[in-house]
Amino acid sequence: MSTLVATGVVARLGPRTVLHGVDARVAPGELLGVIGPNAAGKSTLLRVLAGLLPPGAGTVTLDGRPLADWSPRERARRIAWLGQERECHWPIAVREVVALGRLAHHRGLGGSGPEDHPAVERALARAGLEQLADRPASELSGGERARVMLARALAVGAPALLADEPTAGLDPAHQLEVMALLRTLADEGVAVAVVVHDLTLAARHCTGLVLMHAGRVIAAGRPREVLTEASLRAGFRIRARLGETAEGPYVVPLEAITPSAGDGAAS
Amino acid sequence: MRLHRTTRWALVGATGIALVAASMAAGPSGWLVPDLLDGSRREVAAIVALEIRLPRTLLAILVGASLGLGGAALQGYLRNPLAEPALVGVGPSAALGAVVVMYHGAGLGGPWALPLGGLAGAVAGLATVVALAGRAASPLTLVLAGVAVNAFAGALISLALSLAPSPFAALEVVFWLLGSLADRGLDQVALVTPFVVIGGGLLLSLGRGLDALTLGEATAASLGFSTAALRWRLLAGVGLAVGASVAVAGTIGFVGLVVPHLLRPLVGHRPGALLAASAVGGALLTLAADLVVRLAPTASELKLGVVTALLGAPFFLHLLARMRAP
Repeated sequence: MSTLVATGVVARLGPRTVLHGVDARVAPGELLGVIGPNAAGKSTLLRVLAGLLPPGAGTVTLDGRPLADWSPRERARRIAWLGQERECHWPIAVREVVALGRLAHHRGLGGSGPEDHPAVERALARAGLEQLADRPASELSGGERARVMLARALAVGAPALLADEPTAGLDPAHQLEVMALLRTLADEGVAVAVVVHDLTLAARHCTGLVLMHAGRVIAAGRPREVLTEASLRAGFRIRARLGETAEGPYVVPLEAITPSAGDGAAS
Repeated sequence: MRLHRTTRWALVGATGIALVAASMAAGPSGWLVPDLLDGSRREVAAIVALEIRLPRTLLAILVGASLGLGGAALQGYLRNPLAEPALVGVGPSAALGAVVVMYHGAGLGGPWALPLGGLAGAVAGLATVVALAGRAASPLTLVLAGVAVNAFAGALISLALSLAPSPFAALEVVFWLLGSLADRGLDQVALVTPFVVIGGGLLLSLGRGLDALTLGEATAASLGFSTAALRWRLLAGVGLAVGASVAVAGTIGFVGLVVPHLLRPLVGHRPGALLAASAVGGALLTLAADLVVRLAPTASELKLGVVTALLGAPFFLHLLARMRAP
């Protein structure tokens, strides 16, 4: 069980300030959806929470202790991070790629431990990759590779998981499976944060949402509180239809609002 | 070719023993085994074995292992199969250091002057690359800095050649640059061994970090591996091991490039597992190439660097052609 808390986080990429005082909290049992338009600072927030980018101001704590006080090794065992890039530079077999997630647990000159093999096999099974386990990861399709990378992050077995657009490039069935898997992890007690662009997926699966715009959090709370016509207009510059079905809420984006037209539509 | 792990290592071990035995037994002065058994010629044969062939065999192992290991580590770090030790400027700057010593040779003398000059050159070249590439060097800036240092060291070597006091001096430099293990003694083996051992140890310790880098620098960092720390160990390791090798043997091309390529499929393409395999492979290939050098029936002995390039380049083309095939 681990809790990640960001308080007043300011982050800079070169000369540009990307986050302007962001608060966020990822607690065990939660699936926190981070939503917002492109360049809102979602990925940067995840990187700051993962300890990959030190905040310029503000603090990030893991279980009450500042992230900077954890050794890289300890931090790596507690926070699994899944980036957008999905790089895999050598034609390594899928099972070996997933096993790279276990590197955080290896110490000294010792090789793999007794927990590594079951953790890898379990991660492969959860991501539905058993059939592909012996294929070189570089030969897979983009969507298959995305699931390999997810399995790699699952193999870490960390109490916190930060996933940046794990559903990008996946077909609808796999998108639903990935979100359901993340929700299952949360239900098992993992603290999960996920960047998603599909607002209906976010509304249905996440326990909480953070809506970001231009480096700030402009709405946070339960999905139904965050997803309103006003917040979608302010955050995404879209007019959208929000609805409810027996299976949960849905969001249908209808049109983009250009800044000048937006004033007209709002009046 | 799928062989059982033990079978594979047994094959490697047998090849190694055969090559070392051949390297000790065979040479321009003939087979040593009958001489060693013959009482009257035993003394001379023992001198040949200990003072000529033993240092040569040991150096082939040390130099070849350094080049193979350095190549594998650089390819893993840069995530580029075309990388080799010369890319980060170590080889040419070590050569330049040695050339400077040769140029002023008469005054310095001693068997240690040349390798020490080469080592000084390697350190200077590496320091320049680190300074040029900066602390937060991306793989690209590292390679570009290496290219710049290589070009500059190459230009200075050419300058030294064109200003050579006599054609003989120029010829001596050119021959040295071609790379050779001939006429080296045990004192030179003693000089390079500590550098190769420490540098090689640093490079072998990179294994897990290089595996993690397969997924990119950010993911490696999320797994607890700092790219900056890996880079320092890599540069120090290559500088020590390859710098010392070039300092004592001259430039021997293609081993650092071809050996990791050849062995990569055998270790499942994992850059960490490739390190030790490439050290062994580099040592075996260099031993074999040096045997070719000694046994080839040429008027004057071929240069090792020439043979590795002659064998290596067509082989590399063959690999490329196979990679292109569906």
